[in-house]
Amino acid sequence: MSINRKEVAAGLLILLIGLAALLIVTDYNIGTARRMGPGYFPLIMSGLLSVVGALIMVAGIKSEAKSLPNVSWRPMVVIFISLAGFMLAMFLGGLLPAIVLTIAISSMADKNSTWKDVAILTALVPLAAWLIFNQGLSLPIPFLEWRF
Amino acid sequence: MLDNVLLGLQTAFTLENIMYCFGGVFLGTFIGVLPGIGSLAAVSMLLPLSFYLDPTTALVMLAGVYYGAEYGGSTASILLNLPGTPSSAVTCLDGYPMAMAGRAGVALFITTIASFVGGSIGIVMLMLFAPLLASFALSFGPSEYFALMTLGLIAAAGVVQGSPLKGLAMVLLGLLLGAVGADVNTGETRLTFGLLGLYDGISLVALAMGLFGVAEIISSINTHKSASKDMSVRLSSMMPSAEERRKIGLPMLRGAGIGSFFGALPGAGQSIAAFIGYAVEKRVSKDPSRFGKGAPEGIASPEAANNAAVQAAFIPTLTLGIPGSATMALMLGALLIHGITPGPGLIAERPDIFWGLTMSFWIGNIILLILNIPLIGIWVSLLKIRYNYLYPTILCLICIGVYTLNYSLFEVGLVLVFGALGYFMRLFGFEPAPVLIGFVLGPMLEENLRRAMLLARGDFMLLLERPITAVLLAISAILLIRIAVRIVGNARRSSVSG
Repeated sequence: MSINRKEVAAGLLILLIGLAALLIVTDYNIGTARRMGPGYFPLIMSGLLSVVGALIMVAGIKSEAKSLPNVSWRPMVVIFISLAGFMLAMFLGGLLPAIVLTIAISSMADKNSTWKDVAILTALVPLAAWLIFNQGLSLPIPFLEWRF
Repeated sequence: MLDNVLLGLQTAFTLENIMYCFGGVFLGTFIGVLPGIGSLAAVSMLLPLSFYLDPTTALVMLAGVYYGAEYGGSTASILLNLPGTPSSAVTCLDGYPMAMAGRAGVALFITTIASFVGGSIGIVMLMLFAPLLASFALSFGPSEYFALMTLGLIAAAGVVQGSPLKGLAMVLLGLLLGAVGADVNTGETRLTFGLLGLYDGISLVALAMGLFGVAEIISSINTHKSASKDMSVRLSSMMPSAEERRKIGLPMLRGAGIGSFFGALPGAGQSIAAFIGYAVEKRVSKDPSRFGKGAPEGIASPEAANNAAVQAAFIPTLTLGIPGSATMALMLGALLIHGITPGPGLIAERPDIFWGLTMSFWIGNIILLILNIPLIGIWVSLLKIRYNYLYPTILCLICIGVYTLNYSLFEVGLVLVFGALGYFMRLFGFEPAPVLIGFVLGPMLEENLRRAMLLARGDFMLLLERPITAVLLAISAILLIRIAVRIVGNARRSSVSG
């Protein structure tokens, strides 16, 4: 018997999400079938999710061997840092620093990016954003406003 | 009917609506041409902006993005062998060989014409069947809605590629995510982890942008390819020969019929329509061996099918409030945010919205014809943009779009969380589309179940005494059994071979 590691891990992921939700929703008032409380529907759903997760695991145990998928760590981590950078820079300084920082960080995810590409983008995107969001749609987004 | 059409024309032909229609289809084609960004990401990016518009105008624009992307999707399939949208994957099979044989122009011309024919037939179907279905659905009570939504959700789980169990898991996850926030009946907060930002529930836009936008960017970096510098298509090279023109007529009509049918089914969607269109052409062909080597029928039928399906998908969304695809779920969300509940009453109560939207589809499809034949050169040159220019820009647009929802950075944080979830889900072979369908339908499913059970005094069997409910639940059960049979069959086959 061979094990499809990818499927087993996938099922485990779902099972864990289902069980976690189950643990939380059991605290809510379940009610009766006639008068359902806030916990009734989520309880059924998280229960079903756990069952489906377990079934995916079982199906993975009895199938062709497959290893775990490769995670592209670099793009993933870089993109997440750039999103966090947007949040921080937007909070501290407004749209302009937020866009510049997001572009500068996220560009590191692609190995084909050059300094020239980043320079062009950091010049063009804030300009376009300012024209579209601040001028065109006159949304109240602070463009440059230092907060520290 | 004529009165309604006139009302629709009146609504659609205001300068504002025509402008937004043009803007929508232009942007849709743009998004469709570029591989790696789907109409879903585009619609979710535009959703915050649409709050400032009149609901009809907002819908005209968002719908334009949706069907515009279906037109644009085939360009990259033909020129790069890389589908611009998931539903134009089939177009690669014969479109790319045509381009290799120096007939890229002809292939682009055929896909545009087929898209137009498919789209037109889809709109006619929408005009004919939506009012009929709506008047039929007027008698629906909570139990019928519950049954209908159950059917739609199971269908959405069943059509994913790979294991339907994984589709079911995604639907259930979506339903759970939809339950986050304050419970409408009691006000008790559920699954909020004590976060104030989640009391009103998870924002649809943040969920969609994370699961689709961010997750897609992460998996596309370093795998994406763009067109070579010398690629170009001239208008003079686009005209198909007399023989090719003769060959594509019937396949286009067959494709449009298949597309209209599958598009209207909740949960099926354009990709299925396109695949079936291709399979049917291959079967009826006198010489199936030509397929895959540049047969014009092989691109005409699927393109007609996916564009007909896009238009027909508005039938269940607008008349029953049940979205057929993830993008439609987003469109439904847009309507709900504007305070309009799609359902059988919509056509009668707000004929301006329904007919205005339908008529704008005609305007949009004609604009698309012009955008995609005389102006094809623009789109081809767009394919030369490198991905390292595209994705940082998209990422900024996602952040700004989510931020402007209610000027809270909490939403950007949600995008990050769902981006991570979406990326890992994708890695483990889960499709994110059913999550979104479940998420939008979840609160409605729960509300209707609660009301139906209250009316039936807590006895589930009493629900089955209503004939339409019973039939719909029976179909759902059959679908579930078929899914179970498929799973057992797969397991047996692999244990025999292993």
